[in-house]
Amino acid sequence: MPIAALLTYLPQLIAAGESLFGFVQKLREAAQQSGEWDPTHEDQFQASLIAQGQAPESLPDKN
Amino acid sequence: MRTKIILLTIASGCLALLLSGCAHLQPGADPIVVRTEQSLTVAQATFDTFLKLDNADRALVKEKAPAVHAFATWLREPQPISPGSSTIVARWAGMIAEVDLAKLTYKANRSEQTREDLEKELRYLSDTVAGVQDYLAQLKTIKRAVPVAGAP
Repeated sequence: MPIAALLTYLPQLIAAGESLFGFVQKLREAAQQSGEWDPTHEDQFQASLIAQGQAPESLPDKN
Repeated sequence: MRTKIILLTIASGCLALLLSGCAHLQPGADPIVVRTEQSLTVAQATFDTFLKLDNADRALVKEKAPAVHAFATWLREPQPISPGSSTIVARWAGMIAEVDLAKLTYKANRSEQTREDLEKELRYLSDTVAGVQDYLAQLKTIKRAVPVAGAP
């Protein structure tokens, strides 16, 4: 994907990442009390973690 | 920029509310697993808030509070999400993934060893989150001290 196109859609990509994080947090609410949650939710948690761990605010300083 | 800081401050307030809602434990639930889930949620939200605040003006934070920015830089250092993985993420995400993995290992085999491993990972994560919370307080002070353009 060309960088210009990526930059055009960056706000939407960031918003998608934020909503995924919110969705996963919602799923986790049950686990806050029982410690148990659907194994498929674990995959969603990992996906949200990777998205956040690679988001602009998590990238090192540009030299 | 100012709106962003206000929103992030509100987000950290929500984090405090989240912490206050952590007292429930369902009958039959394993306390260490529940504690792990709570710690993971709080840690993820704390790191996210801290890094977003620092990211809002990295140059300013670096100038006014070098130790705070150095800690953010340490949290951002790229590393594999798990040993041997080709997926590279910031250190903080790797730390959370480590605790999550230790939790899954413990749940699959509830032995003394897996419990000790999980407790060790949890302690490291909790210590790091405590450090971030200290720096978060410093960060908010810096942001408040900076005059907003156009303000009287």
